[in-house]
Amino acid sequence: MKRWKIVLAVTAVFLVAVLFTNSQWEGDVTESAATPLAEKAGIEESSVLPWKIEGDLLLFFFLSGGVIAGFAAGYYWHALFQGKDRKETA
Amino acid sequence: MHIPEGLLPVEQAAAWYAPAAAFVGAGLVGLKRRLVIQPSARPLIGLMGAFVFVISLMPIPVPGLGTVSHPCGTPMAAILLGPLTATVLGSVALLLQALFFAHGGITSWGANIISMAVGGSFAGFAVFKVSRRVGLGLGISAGMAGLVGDLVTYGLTSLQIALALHGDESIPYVWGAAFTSFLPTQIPLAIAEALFTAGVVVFIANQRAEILEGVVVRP
Repeated sequence: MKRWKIVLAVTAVFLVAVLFTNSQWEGDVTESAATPLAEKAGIEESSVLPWKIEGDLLLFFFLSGGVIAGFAAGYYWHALFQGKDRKETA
Repeated sequence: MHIPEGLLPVEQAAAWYAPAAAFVGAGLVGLKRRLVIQPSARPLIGLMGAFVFVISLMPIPVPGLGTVSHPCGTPMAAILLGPLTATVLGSVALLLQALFFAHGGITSWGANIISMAVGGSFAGFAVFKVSRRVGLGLGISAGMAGLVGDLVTYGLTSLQIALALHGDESIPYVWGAAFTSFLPTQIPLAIAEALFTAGVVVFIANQRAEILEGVVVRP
């Protein structure tokens, strides 16, 4: 129980810190590191894919991917641990 | 570990594909053999596949810096399944992320496989093995594997960026600059990955210790 309280407290502090950080949160750190060097070298991002996923379509894919992966994780978790705490039932 | 499309010169992108294909090919052969010999491994492989996909795609914000980055998940999968199987899982995750989630790219897939799937898996697995052999506890060993696997992934990404984009500067200088720019964001995430990896491995050891039989559970 004490561990859960620690996890909840850390999560709460993290959320408050994130929500009150004044930032646009644009792009991940790989892009932040690579883009200035690429601009200096005169190279631009390009895509070989015939589609471009952005805006709300990206949100749709992220949510769908999360739901599908979450379902798969839960399904296999249940198969692996048989849906019960083995320690408690031993 | 998600180098975008178009940043790597064509010849370098192709060059990263060659070792990536060798690792993934060896991993697929091993995975196929394992599923025949040990069909009961299927749930753990499925679980780790889902974990690696989600963990390596989740953009985690770092308060104070205003940046987001991704943990890898491959060190944890390597501890539980072996580094070659983890390489296959990481490669599939990276392909899906490039195709549908605007993270990484098809031309940079080989390079991203080398940094996250191969680098994260093998570095994490090696650190875990060595830590166990020198007598460190299971949780500490798994945590160190997560930490080092994460940082090695970004060290390799920095190298790939430096090789491709160094321009007139020396490669070691650009590597250092790129890796240094990763560190403020990546160190907190590497610590988080260490805690998560340790938590999952210790939980599995408590619940299903037989899963860890082949990976030096006791020092």
